[in-house]
Amino acid sequence: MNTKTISIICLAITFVVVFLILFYYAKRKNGDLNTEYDERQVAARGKAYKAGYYAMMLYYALYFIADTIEIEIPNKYNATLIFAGIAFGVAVFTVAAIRSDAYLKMNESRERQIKLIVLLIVINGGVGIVNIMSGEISEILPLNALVTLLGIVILSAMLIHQKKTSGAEEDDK
Amino acid sequence: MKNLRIKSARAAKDLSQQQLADLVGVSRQTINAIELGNYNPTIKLCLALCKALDKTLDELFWEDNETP
Repeated sequence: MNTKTISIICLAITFVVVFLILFYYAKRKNGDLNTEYDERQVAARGKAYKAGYYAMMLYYALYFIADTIEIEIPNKYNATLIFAGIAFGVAVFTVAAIRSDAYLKMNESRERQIKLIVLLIVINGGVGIVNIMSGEISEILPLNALVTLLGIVILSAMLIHQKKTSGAEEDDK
Repeated sequence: MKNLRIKSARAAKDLSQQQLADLVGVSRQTINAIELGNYNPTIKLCLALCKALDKTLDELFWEDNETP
């Protein structure tokens, strides 16, 4: 096995371990609680899915128009720009769901989810920064930056919504 | 249109939105949305609310001014 193969295997193992730790961390506290979406949340998520789907379709329409009129896009950014459509759709869906209080399930800890997203941003951003500092810039760095940006968008939406609704938490009796 | 009857029935039972939400198995935000008139609950949730608040469907949801 050459060095590259070993690196890929190590990366894959690291990814699986990190994923399992995060999954366990997310499930541990909420495991015994009723963490389902209620009927209003299901309906709101449906609307959010629709918004995300249309946003993604609009992005790809613009992308293919740009391609048709032969706007020059460097080859190394092609994968990133294609993935950006999915990321854009996910961002629209997530922000719409957060605005409707339909992103987190009932009894799901908001603080725990925020910590998880921060962790994902730090891991993604950290890998990118290490890559830049090493001098050998990877081809997937723009993709890495895009995922980090997606995390920041979701985190910002959650924090803004939390600030907006913090007063309503203590409702009158 | 705001549903003040649910709010007053909830207040009469000295329940917070969260407590009522726990009783009927929805989120606090859903109770808030129903009281503000931003969400029309399904009949299943209406019945759960009636049972939790010891009221009838008419008492909580019937709109007299909408009858022909």
